[in-house]
Amino acid sequence: MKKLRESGLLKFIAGILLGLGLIAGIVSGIFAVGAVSEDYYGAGGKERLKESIIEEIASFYNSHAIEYCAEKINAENNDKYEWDEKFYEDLFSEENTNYMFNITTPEGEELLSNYYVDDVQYKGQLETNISVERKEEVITCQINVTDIVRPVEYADLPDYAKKQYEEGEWYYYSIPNTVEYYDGDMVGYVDDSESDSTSVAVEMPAVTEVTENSTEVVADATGAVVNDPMIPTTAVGTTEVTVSPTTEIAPEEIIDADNPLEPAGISNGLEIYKDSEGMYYYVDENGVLRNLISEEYYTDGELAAKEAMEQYEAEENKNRIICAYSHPLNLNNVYVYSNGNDVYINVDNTIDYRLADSSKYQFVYDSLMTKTKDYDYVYRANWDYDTSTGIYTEKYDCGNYQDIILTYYVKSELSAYDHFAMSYRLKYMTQIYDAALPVFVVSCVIILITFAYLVWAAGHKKNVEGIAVSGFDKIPYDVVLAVYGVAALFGVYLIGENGYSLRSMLVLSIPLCIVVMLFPVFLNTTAVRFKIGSVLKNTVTVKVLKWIWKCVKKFLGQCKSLFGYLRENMNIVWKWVLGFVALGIFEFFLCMAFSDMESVVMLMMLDFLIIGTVLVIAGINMNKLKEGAKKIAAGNVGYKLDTDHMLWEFKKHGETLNNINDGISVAVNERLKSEHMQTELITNVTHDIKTPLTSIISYVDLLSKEELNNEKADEYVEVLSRQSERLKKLIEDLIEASKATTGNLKVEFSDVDVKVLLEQSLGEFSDKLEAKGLKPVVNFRTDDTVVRADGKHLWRVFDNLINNISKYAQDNTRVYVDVERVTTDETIDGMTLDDIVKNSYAGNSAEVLKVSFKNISKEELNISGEELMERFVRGDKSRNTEGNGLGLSIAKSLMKLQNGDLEIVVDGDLFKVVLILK
Amino acid sequence: MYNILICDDEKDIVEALNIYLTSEGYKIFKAYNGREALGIIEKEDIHLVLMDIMMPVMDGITAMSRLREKSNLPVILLTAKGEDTDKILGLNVGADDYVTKPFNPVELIARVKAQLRRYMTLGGSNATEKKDVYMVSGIILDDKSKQVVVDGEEVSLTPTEYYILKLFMENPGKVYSPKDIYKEVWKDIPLGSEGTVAVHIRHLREKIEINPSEPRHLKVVWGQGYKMEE
Repeated sequence: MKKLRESGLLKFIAGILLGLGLIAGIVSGIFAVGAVSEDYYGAGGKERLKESIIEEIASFYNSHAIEYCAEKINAENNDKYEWDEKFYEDLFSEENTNYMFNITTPEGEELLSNYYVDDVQYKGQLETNISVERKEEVITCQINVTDIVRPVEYADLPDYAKKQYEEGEWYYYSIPNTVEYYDGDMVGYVDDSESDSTSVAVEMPAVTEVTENSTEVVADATGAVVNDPMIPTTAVGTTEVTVSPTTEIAPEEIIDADNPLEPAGISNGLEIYKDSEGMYYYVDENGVLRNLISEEYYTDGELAAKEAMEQYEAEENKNRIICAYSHPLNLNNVYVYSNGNDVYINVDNTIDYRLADSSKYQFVYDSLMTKTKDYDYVYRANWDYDTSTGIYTEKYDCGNYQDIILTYYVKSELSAYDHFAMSYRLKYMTQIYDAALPVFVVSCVIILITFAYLVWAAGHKKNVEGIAVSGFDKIPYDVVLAVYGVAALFGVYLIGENGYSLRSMLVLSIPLCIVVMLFPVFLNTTAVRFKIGSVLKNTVTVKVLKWIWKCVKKFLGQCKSLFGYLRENMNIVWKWVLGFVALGIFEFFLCMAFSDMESVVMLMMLDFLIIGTVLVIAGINMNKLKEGAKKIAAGNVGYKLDTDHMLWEFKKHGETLNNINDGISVAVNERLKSEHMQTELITNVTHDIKTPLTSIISYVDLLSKEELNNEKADEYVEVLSRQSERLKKLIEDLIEASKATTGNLKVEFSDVDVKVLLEQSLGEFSDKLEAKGLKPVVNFRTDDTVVRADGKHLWRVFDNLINNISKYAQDNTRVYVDVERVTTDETIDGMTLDDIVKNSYAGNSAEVLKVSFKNISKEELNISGEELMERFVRGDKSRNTEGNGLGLSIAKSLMKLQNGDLEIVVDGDLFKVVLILK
Repeated sequence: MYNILICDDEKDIVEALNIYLTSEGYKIFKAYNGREALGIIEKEDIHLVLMDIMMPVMDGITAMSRLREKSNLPVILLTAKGEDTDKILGLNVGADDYVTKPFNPVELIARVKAQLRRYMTLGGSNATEKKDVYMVSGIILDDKSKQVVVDGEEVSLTPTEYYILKLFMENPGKVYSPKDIYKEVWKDIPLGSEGTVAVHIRHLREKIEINPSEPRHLKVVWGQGYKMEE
């Protein structure tokens, strides 16, 4: 087994076999498929092939030659040679035909010689005799056309035509969807493609077609052509083809014993005869026996139809349908028809014209018929419809046949794929078809075996472990594939383009054969590649794609980082500018692309939409920022802007604001904390001081109650008592001052009536003031004395102030208390409002309540108001009185806590305190 | 003869209080933290407790709330902090009165006496149902006899003071402005003369309050008026 796998010789043989098998298989396969598609192997397949060979050969004769002759006749009849050189050059070029021809008279006079006769090597020649009669007269008829109408519908057909059409009595010609009938006198169409649209034709003068028969192709039982007219039996031999209309038979010949004619009835006033072979003849006015029609194509049925037609005509002569006809030499189809009232004419299935005077056409037509009776050959050369005059003109050429000899020269190389080549090739088809199937089957078996073996054995080599990889296997697979594919395509192209002759086909198929023979090599490398798994990997395509992918990835990465960099670092102004420039350029190109106004307007609307959306989003974001900033500015330290739904720079800005707020928040918290701690400290310290102080006060009190019997001791105890009380007061003030200045006091705002408060305060101090002889004089200069403040705190302020007055005011003086409304922008008695008050009104002019206390100091005041305010600083001269000087400081702090202010004015001995309340 | 429990971690203060209260004729029990105080209250027949708030082992607030679970004997808190919140907390958990440190011995004794009087003599609150008798937190005003008793001690008021007090007693908790009071008491239209109301109230307070500067009954609502504490 291993040996089998590693044998190089075996592989070589298998490769050769595979190549040959493939060639045989492909060729036989093509033919086998062709044969199967033609049902050659089925019943009667061989006969069908034979028929098709005959058909091909017949159509070879039918095609160009007839047309050529007609053209020639036409040209001669018109006394001018309108020779379309280009047309014929194309028609008989090497690419289109395999033969050339010339035309001579039977006497050898050359009527027309072909261009290429000298240039091409000819295999042989074929001759055909055609009878052409020279033209003698041209009949022209002019008919007035009134209007243009649609074709006659099936429904408009006369009953007899309908009946015959429906009963299918007419002869069905091979044109698809078209029913054509011919009854000897008439050629007609019934267009069946659309059953409701039918044109019917009736009559035409008796015309004998230019036909040629006697193409004698004889095939034997196997389909092989025995007597092939295309291959001359001798090099210079001439095959004469007789065209039947030229065959004139003398009347006496009718009584030919070998071929007796039997009467077959009378048609159109003519006696019809039938011979033993089924051919029909008639005797014309000159007593000449004429072949009625190319009898090969007509049978008894058609003749019966023709007779039925004639019979009908005899009966319905008045209201007949005028015929439509299609001339065999002139491709125009002309229909003239009547629905009994009007007569219409239609050329080439175009438009229907209504004739102005149908009787005129009838007249012209009848006279034409009469005239043309004298001629063997009539055909309508031209028709013309002048739309300006409405005149329809028909020109009939009338003439007789003349004998000509048409000689075909067949090229030695059949280069064109024409009927000739086709028939020539078909000749060998039966043998090929017979052999195709077995060869194909055998080839397939060989291909399968060798293919399987080669795939199995590929890459195994003697003395090599695993899969042996040759240098060839390392060439990128797609390159190998491309080279092999191109070679194969080239081979196919060579055959397809030029291979119409067997020899050229054989020569040209050599490259394709080589390609096919090389298939085992290709198969081997493919198998090896599959085995080592390098089929896709080792291809230029994959490598290039990988490289491109890498580049694209790198490029995208760079783009991404560039965008990221720009996003992070680019100025917002440049971002917007760049954005708009990009949008502008994009839209410029869009405008160029859609240059029409609607698109530009649409684009503008789109622009509005885009820019509007951007602006609205920007506005929304801006508004959010604004509101947030307002809140932060208002001191809402804990506030966080919701940046989740913000976009672009706004988001960043929002985050920055949040950061600032965080910073403020932290700072504020720190401060609050530190202040709180300070207050706590003072509270706790003072608490600890209070405990021993309680003991001191208690025991001093106890001591004072003891009988000491010592004056000095009593005096000392009195000092102790007084000073410990002072210490107590100091500590209480200290706590209060600390709380008030750090704002650690709770402020509960309510409507406070200053008037009531003042009464209450003075009431509290009435005894003290009276004792000193101080007389308060209260002036209310406004009725609106209600302010927003904390009653308790405000009382503490009043308490402090009035307490001070009771202590430091000159005895027996008046104390003035004035209450009035002022506006903040006024300067109050030459002094300015404290910053806090100003800030809280933020520059707005607002009304505030001003309460001033005025009294005359007992002592000389050698100190400014500010100094008095300083914590623990008192007027030097009043140092010896009780009090610690914290009172005013506390009062001011409390006023500030209530959004108010306190100012002190010292003017000589006049001591004035001004309170500002909101 | 009443038994008073003094509870403070500061021994000197306990001793000082002991001296004051003994001289007033009370029997004194001493404790130095909340737990000790509860122990003594359990064993002895105590009539009043003087208790410090900040104490080791068990603070005054906790001890008092424990005490209140069983007994309603009067408790006066001694507080050093002097914070409003502390006072409110103390009163809320059931203290009857409080004295801030450093205290005035006279005031302290007055409060002790007042609490004892209220607790011992009025304890059952049997006079409340009587007609024309108003009773608000230790103050009893008998409109028939025109008598006013504060914490069990009769006080003598001027007619004006009496009517002012009666006005407040009729609607405890309601804030009367000086104008309202003038209208109600003087039965006259106040034309700037309501300033005298404050003086009268000041005098009234001096009579019914132990410490007029820190009134417990007739409170000043600064800038609005006055009200009787409910």
